[in-house]
Amino acid sequence: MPSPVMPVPIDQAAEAGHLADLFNDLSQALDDFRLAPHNPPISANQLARLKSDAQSLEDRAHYFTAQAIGATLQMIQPELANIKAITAKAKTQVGTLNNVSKVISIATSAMTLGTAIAAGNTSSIATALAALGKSLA
Amino acid sequence: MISNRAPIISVLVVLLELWLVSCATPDAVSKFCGSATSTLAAAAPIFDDMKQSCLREVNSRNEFATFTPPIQNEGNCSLIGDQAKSAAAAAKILSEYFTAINSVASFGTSKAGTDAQKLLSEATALGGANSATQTALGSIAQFLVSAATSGYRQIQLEKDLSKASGDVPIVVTALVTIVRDDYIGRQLLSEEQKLSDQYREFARNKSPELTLMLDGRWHADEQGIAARRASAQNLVIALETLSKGFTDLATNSHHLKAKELAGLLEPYAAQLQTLVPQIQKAF
Repeated sequence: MPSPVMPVPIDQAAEAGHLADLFNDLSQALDDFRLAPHNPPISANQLARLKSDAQSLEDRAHYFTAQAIGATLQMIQPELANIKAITAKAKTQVGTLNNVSKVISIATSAMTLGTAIAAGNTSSIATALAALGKSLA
Repeated sequence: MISNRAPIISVLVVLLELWLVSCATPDAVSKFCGSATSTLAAAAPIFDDMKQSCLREVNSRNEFATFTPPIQNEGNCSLIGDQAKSAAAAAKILSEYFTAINSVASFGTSKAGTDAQKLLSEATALGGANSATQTALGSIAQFLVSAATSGYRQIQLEKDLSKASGDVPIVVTALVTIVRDDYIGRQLLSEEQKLSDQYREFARNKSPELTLMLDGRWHADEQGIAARRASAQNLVIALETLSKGFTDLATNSHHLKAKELAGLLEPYAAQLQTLVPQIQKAF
């Protein structure tokens, strides 16, 4: 029994990019032809037609360039969503860290007060109390 | 009682000292993240120019001396512009990620460090306190050390780095593709070709003097395109450097020592800092 043929994944960005290149090359080939010397010369009407066709081909090239960028961006949507989620969590962590820092600050002031009380130094107690009050504010 | 507590406090003091030493690691991470953010910010004008390049090209279809104001919008150029905005938004998401990592990495290194230093001196000066005070202070010190040495910040940093270790390079590669293939390889190239066509068309059957004058003007216009191309090429190099630096950081952040990590990241950060002004040159 023959093994099932697996479909080859299509790289949409690359395909759109190739089409953009193809249309751009065609447009440029028309312009090169139009701008080259010809004998007998090409009529003004024909030149205008060639120029218009080259522009239409270039418009197609722009369209496919936009498609190529869009397809590239489409491919990274899951990664972007994940990075966004991690960023949001990291921002929350900074908030948590801020709380931890605040608690450290309060406890350090309490420690200073405790040391001052233990030493029985009145002016140090007053200073430490003020610092603790500031930490708690 | 006092003699029983003293060794505990000494251990706590040592732990605190160890924690203070470890603060050097986030500094290196912070510097790298700052360079990454600057690089991504410098990319915005290049993405903006994708639509402008398309419009310049469309406007070059008008012959010289037709005296028609340049168009500001065109269907396909707007499509390119919309996609370029999305690319810029993707770069912004990456930039915000690096900013957030930077915040976590650099959080409280000075403030918490100062507080802990203060605690160190308070704890070591504590000699003659009565047992109740000693117990209370010991408990507070224990809490402080557990908060400070839990490595909360470090652990979170490593988690944030490893969670995005696969995603960031993929997004950067996509941005590189857009800048290298779609902007440099397609849009700027066709703008350059059509600009040349505009001059060639106008120069036909003109006097040699006028042709020479047009040649000089074309060179000036061409230099503008070359400058934008050079800026974009520098952006590609910078994005690739950023991606490689980030991969190295995510791979090694958990096992390298502070000094080693700084040594690993420094070349990437320095290269990015050199490249950013080169990216900005044409815009």
